[in-house]
Amino acid sequence: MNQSDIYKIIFNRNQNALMNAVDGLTQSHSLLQLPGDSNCMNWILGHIAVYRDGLLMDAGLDEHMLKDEVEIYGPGSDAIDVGSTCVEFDRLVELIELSYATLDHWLSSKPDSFDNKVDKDVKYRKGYGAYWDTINEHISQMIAHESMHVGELSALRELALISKI
Amino acid sequence: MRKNKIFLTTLKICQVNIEKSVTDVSHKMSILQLPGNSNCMNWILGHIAVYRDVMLMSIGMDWCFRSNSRDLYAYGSDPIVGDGNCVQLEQILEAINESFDILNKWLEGASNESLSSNTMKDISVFGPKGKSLEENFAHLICHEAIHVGELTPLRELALVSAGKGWK
Repeated sequence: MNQSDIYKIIFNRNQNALMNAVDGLTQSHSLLQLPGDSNCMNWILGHIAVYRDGLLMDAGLDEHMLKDEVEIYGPGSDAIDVGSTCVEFDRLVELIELSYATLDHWLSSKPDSFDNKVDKDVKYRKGYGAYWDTINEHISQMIAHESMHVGELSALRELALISKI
Repeated sequence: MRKNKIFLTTLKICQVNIEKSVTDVSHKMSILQLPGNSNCMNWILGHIAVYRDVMLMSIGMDWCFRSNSRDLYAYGSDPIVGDGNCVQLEQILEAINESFDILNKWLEGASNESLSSNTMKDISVFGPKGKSLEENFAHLICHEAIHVGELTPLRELALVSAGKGWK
């Protein structure tokens, strides 16, 4: 196995868990809140999409999110609740599917650019984009970040399933 | 970058986040339940401890978690809904901390060649993915990180139960 095979396994596991978590749910479900200060599904999906777009940017691939969308879900962004400005759930799921397809296609090509330096001269930052020194550093940090946010969806899906929406 | 860095990075991030999640959390808080059928913190941490042991087994090391507790936290085990039949939080955390130290040290010295070799002990009962260490580590590390993420809303629940943190 090379590094791209390892990354593919991890992104594939995350993607499967993501798609299972959102299956059959709606925009209203995505705004449901658990006790305390954890985030709703809408914010988590947007946040994952931002970080994936940041990786696409550093890898020189097609990015999928609009600037306005990125700003809602970046690091340290405000929590989303009913009435907040947010991206529609269906668009977020589309972004998750698009970014996965682009990443998987790229990793399947077994790129040799993992140790390349990242271009720090960018118009605006998104996720870990233009933050780490190499693409390898970027991905190895990002996969842990993504997997942990995917894990947060588990309880939110359970909440959605018992809701009366 | 050597392949060991991929696994080391995620393992360290997981360990840091586990420690943050359980700070000031008592055993009683670890059994609190969120709405629906998700698992409590005690089950998730025990499950992580079991699969840390699978990683240890794959590199030929001994278990850290109590062998008679594994069935409580293995894949497909019943949810833990009360204090009656579970391991004390402190004991689970001891196993998690011990396994982290061993895995971290082993991974720091692991070459690409050693990671591409086959698992050193039979882990078939735990549903291995492929024969090589690296393939199993890729699955097991991701599995752990997803479960670590599940601790986030449970920590919030614990804080709420302690009268802190409600929006």
